[in-house]
Amino acid sequence: MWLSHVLRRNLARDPEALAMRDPRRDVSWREFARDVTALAAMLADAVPPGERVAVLSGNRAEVLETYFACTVAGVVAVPLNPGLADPEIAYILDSVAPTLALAEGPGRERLAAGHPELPLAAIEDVADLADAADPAGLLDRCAGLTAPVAILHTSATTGHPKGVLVDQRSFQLNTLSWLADVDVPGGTAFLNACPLFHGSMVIALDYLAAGATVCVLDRFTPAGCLSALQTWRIEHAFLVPSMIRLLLESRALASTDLSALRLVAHGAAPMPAELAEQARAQLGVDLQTIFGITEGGGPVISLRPGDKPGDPPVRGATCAGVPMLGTDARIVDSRGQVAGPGEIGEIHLRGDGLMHGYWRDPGATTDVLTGGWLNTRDLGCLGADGYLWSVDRRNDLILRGGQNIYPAEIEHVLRQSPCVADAAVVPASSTAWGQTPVAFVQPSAGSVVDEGDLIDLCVGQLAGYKRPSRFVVIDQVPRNPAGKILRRQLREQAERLTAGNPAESEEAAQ
Amino acid sequence: MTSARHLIQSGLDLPVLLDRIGDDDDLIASGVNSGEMVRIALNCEQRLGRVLTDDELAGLNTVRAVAALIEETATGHELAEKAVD
Repeated sequence: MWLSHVLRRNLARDPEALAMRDPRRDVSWREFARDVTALAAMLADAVPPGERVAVLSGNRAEVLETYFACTVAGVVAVPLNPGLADPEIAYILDSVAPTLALAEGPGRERLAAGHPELPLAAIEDVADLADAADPAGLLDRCAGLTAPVAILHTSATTGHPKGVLVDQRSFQLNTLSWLADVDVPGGTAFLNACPLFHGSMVIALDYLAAGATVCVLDRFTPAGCLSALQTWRIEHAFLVPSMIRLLLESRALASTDLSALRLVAHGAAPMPAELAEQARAQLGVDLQTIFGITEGGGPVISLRPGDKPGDPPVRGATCAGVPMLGTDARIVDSRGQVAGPGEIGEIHLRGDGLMHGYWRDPGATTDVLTGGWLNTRDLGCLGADGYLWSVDRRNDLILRGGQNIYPAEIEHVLRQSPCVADAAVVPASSTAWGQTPVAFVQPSAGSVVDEGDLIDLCVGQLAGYKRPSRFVVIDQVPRNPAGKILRRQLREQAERLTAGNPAESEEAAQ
Repeated sequence: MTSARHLIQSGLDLPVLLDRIGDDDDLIASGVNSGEMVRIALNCEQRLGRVLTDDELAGLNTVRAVAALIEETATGHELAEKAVD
C-alpha cells in the first residue's frame, strides 16, 4: 500500500509534475500512474499473487515503474544485475523460480538462450501497454504493508548470493528516516546514478515519496554524469566514492555548470578524507555520509553536513554518524554483551526496516537476525557523544567500487580448476576502487598453475567486478587447526604486493 | 595497435587480462568490467586532450575501436604538423 499511496498522493497533488526522467523520456505523475496500472494489470493476469518476477535491465525509468507495478499486482520483484555472468544469473533464477521476466533486449536474448522455459516481456514497452489497459481501481489493490514485495540479492559468505526479502514497511520507514535527515522540497531534482538492482535504489523511492523528480542515469560514466548534473539541473545525488573520484578526474568537470547541485550523499564504501575535501571544494557541495546495508532496508546511519563528530575513539575508525529515525543501533562485544563507548564490537541494528529474512534460507536468517536485532557483522564502536564509528566491514567482505564481494564467491570458482588445491581471496587497498580482490592459490600436487586459465575461469563464471586484480601462487593456503583461513596474514601480504604495483603507485601520486 | 593496447592495459586492474583479448573481441564480454571501461575512456580523453562524445564512448568496445579513436587523432596531429611545416 505504501508505493500506491505515494503514486496516488503525488497524482492528486500535481499530475503534470515531473516524477522521473531518463535519457529517453520524461515521465509525469499522470504517465507514471498510467504505466504502473497498465503493467500491474498485465502482471496480475500473468503472475499469481506472491510469485516472483525477475527484472533484468540496465537503468531506465521503467525499472522503477516495474517495482511499483509489482507491489500493485501483489507479486515480488527480483532485480538482477545485468553484469552477472550466466552461471550467476542461473543460480538466482533456480533459487527464486520466477513466473515471468521483464527484461531489456540484451537481457531477453540471454534469458531466451539459457532459460527458454521462462516467459519474457519487454521492459522498454511498458509505456505502450497503457494504450490497451483498463486499469480503473487497480491502484487500490496494492500488496499489504508487510507482504514481501522484492528480493534484493547480496554477496554472501557461502559463495552464492543470498536473496534479501523486503516489504513496503521497510520502504516506508526508509522514506521517513531519509526525510528526517535530508531536506527535500517537492520538485527537487535527484540524480540516481547507481544501479537500480542495488539496495541503494530505495533512495530513489524516498525521493519519489517526497514528490521530487528522480533522474535516472543509464550507466555511470564521468562525462555522462556531469552532463546529467548540468542538463537536468540536479540538486541532490547519491554517489559512491569511486564515482566521485572519477568525476574529479574528468576533463569535463571544468566546463560543467554545477550551480544547482547542493548535496551529494555518499555511501557503499568508506570516503577517504582527502577525497571528501576535494569533492567539497571542486563540486561546491555539502556531503552526507550514508551507512547502509541491504538487510537493514538500505540507509540506516547517516552523518549530516553540519555534524561534528570530533576525533575517532579508536585509531583508523571512520564516522558513520548517528542512527537514522526508526533505527536503533548497538555495539555487541565478543562475549555477546552490549559494549560501552570506545569498545569495539559488532554493529547490531533494530527497526521496522529490517528484512524479513533471506529467501528460503532460515539457517542463514537466524545467523544474523535474532530477537529483532540484525547483526551486520561490521565492526564498530560508539563515541562518548553518541556517534557511531565504523572500524572494519563485515568479516571478509571486499568493497570494490561500492559493490560487495565475499571471497567465497571467487574461491568457489578458483577451486574448480584441477590445478588448484586450495584458494583464498582477500582485499587489497586500491586508490581507484577502495579495494580489489587478490587471489592466493595453492597448486594441486604435481600441477603448475596457469594464470591465464584462472583468468578464463573467472571471466566465464563471475561478474567482471569480482575478477581478482592479482593471482599469487603460494605453497599452502595458511589455515588454523580448525581449518579456517588465516586471512589477516594474507591481507598483509596482499597489501605489500599492491604497494609495489606501479599502477597503484602512479594513481596514489596523482 | 600497440599504443592502444598500452592505453587499455593501464586502465585494467589485471593488465595481463588483455593478453587474452583479440583486437576484435568485445572488451566487456572478455572480462573487462564497467569500472575499467570508465578508466579506459578517461585514458583516451587524456590522450586526445578532450572529452569523448557519447557516440565515441558507446563505440569504445574493442581494442581496434580504441586504436581507431586514438590513431585518428594521431593522424590528425600529423596532418596538422605537416600543414604547419
